[in-house]
Amino acid sequence: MKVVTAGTGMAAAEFVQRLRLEGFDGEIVMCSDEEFAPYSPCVIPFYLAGEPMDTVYWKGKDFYGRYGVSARLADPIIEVDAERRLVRTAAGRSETYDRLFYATGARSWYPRPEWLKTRGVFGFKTLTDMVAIDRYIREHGVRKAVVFGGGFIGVDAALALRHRGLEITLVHRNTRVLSQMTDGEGGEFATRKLAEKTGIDIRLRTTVDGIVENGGELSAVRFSNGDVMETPLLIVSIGVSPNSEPLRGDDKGVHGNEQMLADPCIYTAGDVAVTRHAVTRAKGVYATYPNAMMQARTAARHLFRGDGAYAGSINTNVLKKHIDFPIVSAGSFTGETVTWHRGDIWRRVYLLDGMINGYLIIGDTRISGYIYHLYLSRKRVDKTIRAILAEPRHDSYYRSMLGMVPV
Amino acid sequence: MSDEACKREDRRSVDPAAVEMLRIADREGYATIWERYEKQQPQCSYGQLGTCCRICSMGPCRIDPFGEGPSHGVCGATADTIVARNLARMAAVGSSSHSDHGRKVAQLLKAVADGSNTDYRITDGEKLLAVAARLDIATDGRSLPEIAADVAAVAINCFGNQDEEPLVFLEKYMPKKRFERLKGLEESLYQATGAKIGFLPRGIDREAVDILHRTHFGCDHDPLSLVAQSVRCSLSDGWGGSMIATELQDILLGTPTIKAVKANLGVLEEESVNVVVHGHEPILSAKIVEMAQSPECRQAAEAVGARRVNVVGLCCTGNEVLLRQGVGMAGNESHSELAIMTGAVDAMVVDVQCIYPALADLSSCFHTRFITTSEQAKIPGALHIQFDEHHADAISSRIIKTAIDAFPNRNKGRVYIPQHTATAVVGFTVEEILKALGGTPQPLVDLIVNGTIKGIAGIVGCNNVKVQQDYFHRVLTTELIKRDILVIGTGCWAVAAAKAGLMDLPAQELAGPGLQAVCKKLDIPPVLHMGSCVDCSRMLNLAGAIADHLGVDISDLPLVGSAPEWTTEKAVAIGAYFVGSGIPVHLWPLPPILGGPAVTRILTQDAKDVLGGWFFVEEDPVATAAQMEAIIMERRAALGI
Amino acid sequence: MKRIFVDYKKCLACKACETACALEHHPGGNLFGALGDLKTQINVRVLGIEQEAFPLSCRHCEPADCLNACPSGAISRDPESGAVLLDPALCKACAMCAMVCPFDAISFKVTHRSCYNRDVAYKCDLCNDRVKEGGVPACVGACHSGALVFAEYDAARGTRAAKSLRTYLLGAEGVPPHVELFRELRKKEFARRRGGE
Repeated sequence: MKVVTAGTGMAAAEFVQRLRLEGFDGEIVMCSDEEFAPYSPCVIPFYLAGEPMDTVYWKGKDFYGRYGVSARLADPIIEVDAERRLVRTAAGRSETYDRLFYATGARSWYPRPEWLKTRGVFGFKTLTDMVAIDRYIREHGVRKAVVFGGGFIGVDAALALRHRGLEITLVHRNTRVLSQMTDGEGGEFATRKLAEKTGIDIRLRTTVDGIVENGGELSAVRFSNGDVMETPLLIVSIGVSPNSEPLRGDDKGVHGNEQMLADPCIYTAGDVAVTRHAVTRAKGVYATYPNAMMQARTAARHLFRGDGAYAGSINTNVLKKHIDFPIVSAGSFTGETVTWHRGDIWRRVYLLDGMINGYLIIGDTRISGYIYHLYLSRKRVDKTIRAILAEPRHDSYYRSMLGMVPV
Repeated sequence: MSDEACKREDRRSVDPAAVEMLRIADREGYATIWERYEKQQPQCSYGQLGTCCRICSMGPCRIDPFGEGPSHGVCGATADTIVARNLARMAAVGSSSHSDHGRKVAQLLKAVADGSNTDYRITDGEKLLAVAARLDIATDGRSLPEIAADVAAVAINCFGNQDEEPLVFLEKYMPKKRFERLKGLEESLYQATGAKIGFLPRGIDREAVDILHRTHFGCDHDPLSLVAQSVRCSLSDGWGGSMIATELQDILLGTPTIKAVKANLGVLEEESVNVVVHGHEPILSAKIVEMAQSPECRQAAEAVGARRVNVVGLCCTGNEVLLRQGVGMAGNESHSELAIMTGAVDAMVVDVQCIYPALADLSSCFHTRFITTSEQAKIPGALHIQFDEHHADAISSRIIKTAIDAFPNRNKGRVYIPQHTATAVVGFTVEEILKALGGTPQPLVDLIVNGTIKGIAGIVGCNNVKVQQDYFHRVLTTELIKRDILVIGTGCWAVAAAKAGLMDLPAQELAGPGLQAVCKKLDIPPVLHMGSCVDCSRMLNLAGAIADHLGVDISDLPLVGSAPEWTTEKAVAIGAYFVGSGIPVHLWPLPPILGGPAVTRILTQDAKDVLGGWFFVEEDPVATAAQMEAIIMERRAALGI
Repeated sequence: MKRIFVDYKKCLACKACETACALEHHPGGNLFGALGDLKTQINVRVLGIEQEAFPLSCRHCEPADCLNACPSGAISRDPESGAVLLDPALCKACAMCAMVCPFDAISFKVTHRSCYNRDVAYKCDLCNDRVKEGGVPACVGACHSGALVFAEYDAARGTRAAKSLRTYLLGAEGVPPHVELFRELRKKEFARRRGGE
């Protein structure tokens, strides 16, 4: 049997590693539009912040060799022909498969794609982006950057570049940064604290409406309020979309069933995959690393053993990069709220039918693991959650283990 | 606010003024004993069990109480040896603290007698004559200074006595039967074991040094012997050092008389220069109260726009000036930080004992001058103005000037004085009690014999962060008077009772019918303030007066003691000299002895037969009151009354 | 495979485990080097839960949520000892692991193992080298009172686990009467402060 992966991202690497560890000895071909060994997108901003490139290869730089993989790199797949079981690449090559693992991930979405033609304007999604930004900063002695988009990736970019010593202006359309992983009040608290702790100039309710170039290089950006700011570097990070066109013809993602099958011979996983939420059962793209891992393992097990099922995705996330101010969130921000706030720590749980429907923990990871497990367990916590959040020594898990959670 | 409401409102204190101040502390982020206690959690149980030995450098050694790990220290010391040695050292430190306080008073009396100190004088000649008579010092035809010189000489000799005879003060003050019992006990133990075990102290300094010696590496390892020496050393405090302190202070500063005073943080005055005296030695604090009233200080205060210099007390030095000079009482030990947080304290002047070093840092958040005065109690961050009895007037004036100078720096926006005070009728020395009874203990004896009053409970103080401030003091006291048990006491307990209004006449209504009727007849509260913690000697004297009057031992009388909310090593010494004097003593929190089963048995069971006094531990104040009543009833039954 | 179990009724909160752990993981290996060194790494912490004390450390779960959550390849399991190990050279201190650990056993700071002069996740490594040489973890070796027990995972669970299935908590056996009394009195003290009776 010949297995082809569309993508060499985290899902694909996990899938291949699992197959080999299980004992799969068939041919494996991995295809990517980039030229690298599998790397961790979570880690790549640290390369930009000055840490060694080798650490981005979270399963080893020698991955392809170690797992007997034929790598077809720097050549994007542009079409999947499920009938004939083959994929075609931009360079005109094709690769047949018995099973395709479709995990092409997502890409940056640009409101004005033409800006990218100007030197000094970059996306912030791939290792290719990081290498390009790094080179640009070094070659131009860049001291200052504007990051457009204050979602997870935008904040990640701002913090990495700040760590590198750049003066950062972060421009965001919403009333708070990280608007997807926070609610209004928590997000505003997090935004204020991030600004305080980092000195990043955060401009809310603002967008970048235009750029000024000089000889093909960026010299300034124009904000929606008319202000013009000189900057040699603009990071555009306002959103991503799944790379599902080659398989589905649109960018709405690829539905995977419980076996992560999108088609009898095509598995899908990772940031391109549409799955059900483990708690709400709602369909969506749940683009986090742990989901990708479990999806890839489900697919590998099913391919090799023919059994197993995916339990569903969980939309947990945490942002803690370069500064010790974590922001943890999961679930949906609807229901009755229970909030606790002391100094730099802010916690809120949303309750629905007495169970945790979503939560937001800012400033400190303590008890976040306990809340996570309570969330997944679907236990009623309406009587105890106030005490759990407010325990001054942050030890409510151990209190509960010893039967000492006050009601 | 009612006690119950306070109890619900803040688990740290039942005192409404404290509850208000803690709200401010929480809001402003001021560190307190309560916060630091939380940060200390969990506290090491080896220490709490008493089984951590740090005596030699082969250690520290710890004994596994579960019996799986080490059962002996490196030298072979058992858990009981370690517990007993640690306990003995606590008793030595506690006794030394009281006694060293007494030493300074004796030295001052000597200096006043020989004329080398003119800043103090013999204030209470009557008391001097009474003390002299007690000590068999001739008084007829002699001047007061001559008599005082002899009294001082006897007292000073008690510290340094080198012969094997019992302390003169103890011999003269302790009731005969008790003295004979202890003497007999020494003899019978010697006959039974062939080993010397002493209970009657020889010299005050010697008994503490004896403990330092015998707890040195490789000396006394016998739990019984170590406990006996702890009792002996403590008796040298109660009937020696503390007795000397009390009696001689009365001579120098006046024996307290019954008076009504105010207690709690509301005694601070927004428009006045507030000086808080905190600590234990009235030699300084009484002088500060005196000098604050001088025209010079009054004018200086007015010059900075203050109404007057308002000296208020805290802890036991507060009790001393409260009883003698009638100044306001700001609070007990746990109030010391809260007082500074009012922002209205211009100076806190401290001498020795029970002074949190944290007060220096806290004062620096305010304009408050935190002034240490004793060679024995210096605190980094404090302003040290060295006290010297020979220049007491000048130094006290300088201290008050320092407070007056600080007054203009007070940030009026930060001043918050919780408006809580209670009236307390205080000053029940043995002299005052006997005076009220017509000069003899007989009426009190009659009341006890006929059951109108079931007995007497003596309680002594401290606050302890492990107990909600004043909660145990209040509930226990209320429960006891409800049971027709007269409550007397000293120290931070007395301040707690005063703040709670238990020393005011309306508190008579809380007493049982018998006690209530007596109190109404005599126009006294059912809860009597006898002084500072060093004045526990007054409780011994009252017990002694009744015992000698009846020709019985103290251990026959329906008396019982308690140290709820105890904190310090001084409380260990007080408890041990009560037990050694034949009075059962309740303790809470837990003393560090439970790791030594034999020591625990000696203190809680064997002591009952041997000494007639023993320790018991109880966490619940109502249950404690019930146990204390049961002890009293048992003793009444034994007396056939 | 062996794990560290906690007989919490026997924990006396002496914190000898903390000191032993600090020394074991300090490059100097001695108390005076580790004292006052902000990079000193202590992988076990004695919590005070009311009157109970409880040494908190990584339980080396199987499966381990932290291992599955780590997106930088920093967390792995030693197949021989079963220890869940953290490689500071790969760790980005992103907190994905801490976010899912119910034990709060993962902390962050600049330690002597930090490679890039920034904070790094740290947690109990089961003293993996000691254990593989046949020894016990430093904390277990330092525990006088038998509160920390290094035992076969299944054997210990089967015979001594408390009925509430708190996997790593053992029910203390043979607590002598004077210690039971001590525990009882402490329990009352804390219960009153908490407001429960």
